[in-house]
Amino acid sequence: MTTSDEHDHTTPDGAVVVDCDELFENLDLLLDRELPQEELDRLETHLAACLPCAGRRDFESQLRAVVRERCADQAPADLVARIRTALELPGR
Amino acid sequence: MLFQTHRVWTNGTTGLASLVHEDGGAVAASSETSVDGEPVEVVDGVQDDGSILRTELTDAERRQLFEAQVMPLTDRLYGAAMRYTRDPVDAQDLLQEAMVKAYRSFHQYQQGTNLKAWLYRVLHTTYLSMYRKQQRRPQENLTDDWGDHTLFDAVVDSGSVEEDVLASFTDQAVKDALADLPEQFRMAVFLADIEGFAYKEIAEIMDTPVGTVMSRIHRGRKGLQQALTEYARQRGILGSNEGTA
Repeated sequence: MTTSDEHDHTTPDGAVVVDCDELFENLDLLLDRELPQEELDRLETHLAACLPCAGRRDFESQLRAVVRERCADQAPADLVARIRTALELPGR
Repeated sequence: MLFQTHRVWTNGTTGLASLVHEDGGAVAASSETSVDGEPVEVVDGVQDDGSILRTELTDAERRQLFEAQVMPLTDRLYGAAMRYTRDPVDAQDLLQEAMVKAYRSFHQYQQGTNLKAWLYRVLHTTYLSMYRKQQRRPQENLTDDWGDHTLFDAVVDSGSVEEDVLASFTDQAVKDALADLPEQFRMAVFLADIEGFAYKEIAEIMDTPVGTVMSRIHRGRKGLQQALTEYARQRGILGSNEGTA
């Protein structure tokens, strides 16, 4: 990966904070909404303060939308007709 | 109440009923408890032995429900069949067979549970029974020679405009990039990124542990990004002021 600028991601009260590596490792889980809320909050705190990581997140999110939109298909009409015929006579 | 009740076994948390395989054996959607070991979600009508009391449909009711709930998903399911088979003729055969199976076993689908996951499970098992046995080739794997490099890194390194790169990807480019992934990775990425299923749902659809699903999605996406990076680079959308991937 291209390492982002190393920021000083410490809070005034000294809490353990997310660095760019941790954000990168968890980006899939973040975008897939597969993380518990407290993890999400930690990562979002990092994203709010780190422009390169926010840019990465936004790009990955847009790329997923592009992939999804580009993979649409329409079933051929004669196939749909064949399926309808098959279902009206299920045949056992 | 007009409907009779009878028992149907379900597995996991998405309400996927076990499917009757072509040879008559049951294909379990997953283990009896949910894949991550959490207790199976309690559904109205669940009996002590885990079976579910549910309604039995008349032929007319089944046809009506199938028409209203499943037929509108035909285009999406055809897209899935295309991504699975990578061939329009095979995709049509697969979809027709899967729709017939779904219709025949529609009484096993518990109304109110996850219909889309149930249908994709039917499509998946139909695909395996129709095509897997023909292939007989060793499990493909993904060469993992790209490290942690991503398309985003390639865009940043080349100084290209993000929007230009994303706009350069045609339908065919994305479909080809996906089609070039080995089967297990292709299916996992498709179910996650195009269909938007959760990891747990994909695990049930593919009858695979969640950890394996996550690994396939992660590595499959890297393969997809590598292919798209090559595509953009070949078309001069990405500058080449960095080493070849």
